[in-house]
Amino acid sequence: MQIEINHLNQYYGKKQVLYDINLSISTGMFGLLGRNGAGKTTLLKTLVTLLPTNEGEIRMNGIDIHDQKKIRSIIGFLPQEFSMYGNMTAYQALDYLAVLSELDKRTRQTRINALLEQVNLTIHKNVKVKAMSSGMKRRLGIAQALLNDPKILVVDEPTAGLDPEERLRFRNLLAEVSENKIVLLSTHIAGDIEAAAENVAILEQGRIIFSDSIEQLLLNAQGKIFSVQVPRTELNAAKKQVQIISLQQDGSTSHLRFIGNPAASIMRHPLVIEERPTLEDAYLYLLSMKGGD
Amino acid sequence: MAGCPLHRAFLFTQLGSDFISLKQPEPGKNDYGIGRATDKHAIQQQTIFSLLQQYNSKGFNTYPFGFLKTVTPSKSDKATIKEILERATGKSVAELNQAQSNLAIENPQIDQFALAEKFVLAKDYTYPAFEKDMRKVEELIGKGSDFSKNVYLNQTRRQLNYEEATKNFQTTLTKDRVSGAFARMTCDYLGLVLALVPVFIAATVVLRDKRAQSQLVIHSKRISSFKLYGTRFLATVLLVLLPVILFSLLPAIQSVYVAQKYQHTGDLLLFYQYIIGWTLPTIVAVIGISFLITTVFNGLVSVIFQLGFWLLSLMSNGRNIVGSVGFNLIPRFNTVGSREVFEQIFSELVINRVFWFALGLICFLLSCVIFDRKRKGRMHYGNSR
Repeated sequence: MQIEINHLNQYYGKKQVLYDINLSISTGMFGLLGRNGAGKTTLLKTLVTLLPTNEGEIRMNGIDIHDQKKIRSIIGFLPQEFSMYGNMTAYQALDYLAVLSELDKRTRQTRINALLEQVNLTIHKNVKVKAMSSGMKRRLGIAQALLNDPKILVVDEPTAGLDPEERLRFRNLLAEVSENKIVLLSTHIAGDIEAAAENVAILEQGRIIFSDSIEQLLLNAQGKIFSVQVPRTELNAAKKQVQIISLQQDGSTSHLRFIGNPAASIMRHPLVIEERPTLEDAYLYLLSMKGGD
Repeated sequence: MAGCPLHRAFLFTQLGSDFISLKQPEPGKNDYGIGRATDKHAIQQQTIFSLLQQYNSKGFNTYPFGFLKTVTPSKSDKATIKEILERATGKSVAELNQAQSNLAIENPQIDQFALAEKFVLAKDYTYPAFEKDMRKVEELIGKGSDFSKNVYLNQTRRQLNYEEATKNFQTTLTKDRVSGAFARMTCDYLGLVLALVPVFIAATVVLRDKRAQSQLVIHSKRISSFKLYGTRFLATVLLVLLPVILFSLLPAIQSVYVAQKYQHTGDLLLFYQYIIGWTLPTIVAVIGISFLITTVFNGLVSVIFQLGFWLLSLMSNGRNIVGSVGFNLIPRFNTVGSREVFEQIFSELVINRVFWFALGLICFLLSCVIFDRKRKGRMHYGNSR
């Protein structure tokens, strides 16, 4: 099973928003990382046939993207902004969407109950959508995306706005469902991808600036990430020298995690320690190398 | 549904009084109602009489857009109208007014209708001359007056006698089986409401996905655009039609009761043939047009459009509320009975209903095409080269 994207260019009116996108995505979880406005949602909308493809080629599981009916029968989509009609219960919402997925009655009943169980909404199946928390709605969203047992699951910013507990629960859920499927997870939060994805592509201003394994991304950032403790009074001076990844205050001391800069004087600080890069570190390092902030 | 209480209130308040009015004529009465006059002399007589009345008053009443506008002609125009009156009657205006006063003194109970019947025209005043004079009057005071051709032809009335009233009554019993007559009246009232109310429901249905933030999820599902829109269109039509059928039950049962009262059998099937045949095209047209406009503009523009169109349709009928059809969305037949008028306009009505039904379906199909383009991102989501 594969998604093949070749030389995709995408436009909004005359404005180009995706430039020569080339990707090959195999079974498992694939992360699409990028800032807000990088073009991730545009790419995802193109893949789920909500935007036309006029320049470039896309094949999903061997099916050309222009064969929309076939494509829609093998994909499941959870958009960033997801909701359903407020007066429907969880069960009714899933049932309605299952009808739109052209599932027969028996399949609908079986699958909806199974999915409600999987996303932990069985006891809430009679709760109206308008009464649901964000976490519950997001779980409902994943359930509806899985209704037609898709081969390809496309998820856009699934944990945005969720509390840490919900976020963790959702990541685990995604990891669970990615077996034997392609799960394309688009996010600006590196932590969403780190747990379960093997491969990642990074989109910056409509261009792919990295597409490889997460291991390779981390390798690229090896030896580039550092930490140091400095008095709070030296914080501003440090900020001017290096790009800060994270900052923790502890009384009058600041714990900095930063991207190394050989020319910076802070590199010669006696308390500087080289750190093992996380995915977020590596991502920010890559962006800084490409001229991002 | 927003329209249900409106339908119910409308029907209950409007139809009760007409139920009472369907009575068998009794001999020896003074009044057997009024019918439309087709006799040319009667038309001339009543129209010239009305011209005299309005000449004597402060101004001439016109209804250019369905609303009353009083026109005060200039001195020279008024002089022209005076000449017309004098030519039509062979008498001066002063003499005419004197004659009217004398009649009123001789018979203080006399009404305007009776006065018009006694109005004397000049023997050599031909109908073509009358038509020419009325065109002149219309030119002077503007359209929408009592002197426009379509108005004086449709609004000239005459007193019915016992035989005529009995014949009309028998026709209502035998040919209409009472139910047909009641159905036409019911459809008249329903048409007024159905030409507007469904637009609110249709616009809400089309905009529901956007408001619920479920557009992207629904649009990416496998179902075809035609099926998705088609089921919604059908559901909306049924949502409006079912209460229409339900609330028509009252006048339908009334018609059966009245028929039984006069030892005849009402006909519910006939009643509902009228209801479906008359109201369904209006429902389909309003919903189809609303689907199209709302899909294109994504907002409540269709409501504003339909409100304007509804007002225009109402005004286009003018003051003729029995047998006014043309290509109006709201054909009028605000009476119980008058089968001979219905027979005259029947083919016109059929063409009218087929036209609006077809237009509604065409608009719906166009809305499917536009929705499909939007769903594929070729319109709403941005243009691709």
